[in-house]
Amino acid sequence: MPGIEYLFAALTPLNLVLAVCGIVAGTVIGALPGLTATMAVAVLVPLTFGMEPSSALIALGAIYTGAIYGGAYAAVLLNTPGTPSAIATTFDGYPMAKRGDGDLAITLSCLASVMGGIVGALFLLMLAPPLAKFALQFGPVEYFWLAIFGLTLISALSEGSIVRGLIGGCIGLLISAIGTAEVGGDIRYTGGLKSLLGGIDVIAAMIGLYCVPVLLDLVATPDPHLKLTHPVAGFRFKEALRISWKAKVNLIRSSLIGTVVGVLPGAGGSIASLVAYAEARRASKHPENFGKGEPNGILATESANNATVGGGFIPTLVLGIPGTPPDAVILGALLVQGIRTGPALFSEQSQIVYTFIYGLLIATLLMLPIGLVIGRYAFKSLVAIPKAVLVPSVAFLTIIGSYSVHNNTHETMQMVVLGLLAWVLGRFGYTASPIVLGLILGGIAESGFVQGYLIGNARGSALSEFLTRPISMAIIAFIVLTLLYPLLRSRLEARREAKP
Amino acid sequence: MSNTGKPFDLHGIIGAAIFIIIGILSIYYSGEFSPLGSVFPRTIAAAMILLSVVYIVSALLWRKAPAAPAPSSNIRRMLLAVTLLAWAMLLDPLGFLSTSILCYAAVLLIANYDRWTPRSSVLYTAVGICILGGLYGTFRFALQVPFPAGILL
Repeated sequence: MPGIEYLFAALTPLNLVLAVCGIVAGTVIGALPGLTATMAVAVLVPLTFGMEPSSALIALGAIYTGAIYGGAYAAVLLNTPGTPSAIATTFDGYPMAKRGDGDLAITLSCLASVMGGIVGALFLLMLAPPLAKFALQFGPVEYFWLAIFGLTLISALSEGSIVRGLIGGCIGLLISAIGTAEVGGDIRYTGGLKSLLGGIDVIAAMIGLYCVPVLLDLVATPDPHLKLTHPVAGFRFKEALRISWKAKVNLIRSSLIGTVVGVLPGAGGSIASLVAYAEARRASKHPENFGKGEPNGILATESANNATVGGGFIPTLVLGIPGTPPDAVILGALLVQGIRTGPALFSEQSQIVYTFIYGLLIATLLMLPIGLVIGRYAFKSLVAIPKAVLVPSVAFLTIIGSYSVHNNTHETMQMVVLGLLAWVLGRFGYTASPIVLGLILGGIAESGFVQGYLIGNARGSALSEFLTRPISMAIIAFIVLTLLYPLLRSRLEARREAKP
Repeated sequence: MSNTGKPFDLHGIIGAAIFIIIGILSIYYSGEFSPLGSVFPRTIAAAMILLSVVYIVSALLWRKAPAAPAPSSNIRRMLLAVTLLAWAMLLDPLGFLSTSILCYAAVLLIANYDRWTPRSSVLYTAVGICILGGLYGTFRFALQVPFPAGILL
């Protein structure tokens, strides 16, 4: 492990203050639907230009990790992921909040996020160069299959049938095709509307698809938004710690999944949390509880998405290829600071890079007390707010959040229209999650598909390009397993029950 | 195994039929694109059609009655939907702040099930001003988001 002197360099009062401020700012921004981790980092990056490079990196790392954790608040309390990486947190977080365990869900999210963040940062500290080499093995075809794997997972995990989930994924992919094509530059499915030339914005769509149906259902009944079965008196920390200790294998496994997926440039927290959630459900003795408020679901998704922070920094620092969108902004800030990323960074500028990694570890640890305090008050406030105030306030958040994506009202209109569409689709049994993930992964899937198609045609067979590469074959095997697993499981259970 | 005693999942079948139509239209309109621009949407649309057919066939063979929705007020839903659409449409002509104040008040009226009292009226108005002012101020001045001024502000 790199020298202890870097740890002391990270522990200066300035770095600690920056870590605390970064975590608070990131958590608050990440909690607001529409403001993602990328936006949190992008908005605050100019503040770091005058700082020492390692201090600037610590501040940005803290904002990033705080924002990923903050995304869980809206996911748990409003059924709307604050950031795309918290999509899977809605599966069990919101049911927990609805039955009166929202405070426990928030504390579990905090514990899991800290655990995932630590594992990701430790991997960054010790195994960055070999993991970066692994990421280079992924070509366009592998990214295409990875996107399809993500969609298959969310279809299998969402409420309702797998086929309906897959149809939802296709809808998301088709919506992502609206606008000017990345490959070829065609103008597609805009219906002559100039406002659709830039396509459907993922963040605005996400706010609409998740938030608007919730608002429409909230106004339809006089029932309170969240139940409170007990007085909010503490963090329920001991209870959360006991649950987390029991689920230590799940936590470690999910953190490792998050780190590895984070290493793959472009894959991001949404896929990582879904893979971890699927694995937690597969390994559970009670998979039927998932989706109904199972604490293990939250532990899996939140540890995985925070582990992508450390994982994502691996290709960013070692190869200069951003692992996740916020890493791209941080990479830009590094260039402004005059830091050249690459394999030599860890030897030539070890002072900066190792001080930053220790700083990230410290910031992640500081997230525990800060996150618990913010989470407790967020829950307490949301439960106490009457519906007549909550609904217009959330509606205003959706309007201002979608507007501020690109500072124009087209996104706001897209948000409202897609939200109303999502409510109608919900009535037909189609949930929002596969559609949103299809929209998020549409760009990766299409560029991977088209590039693979072109490369395959140039080599003589597009089909063999897609089906015969070793990593692709492994991902395809996972896709098939994901699709067949529910069937295999029910067959096995039926056979077991039939035995005397 | 068919279960003829149970009703069809009519909602699911209608939904899948609509997606088949959307898929066919997507393939039809992709004829206007270059080969590179059309290969992905065509593949996805074909997959969506296939999956929708699979869904319809399985819904007809394995009948499963969908859960009945809980009783709720569709009038309030419709009012909220109209208000949200108006909110998005009036931002540019009226101005962000004034539209937001008007629509916030409208949504507050739609969402309120309790009897209005002087206390609740003052409290909700004060909270509304704080939330609108706080968020607008944060975005406008701290995050430097330029909002449309419109004719009113």
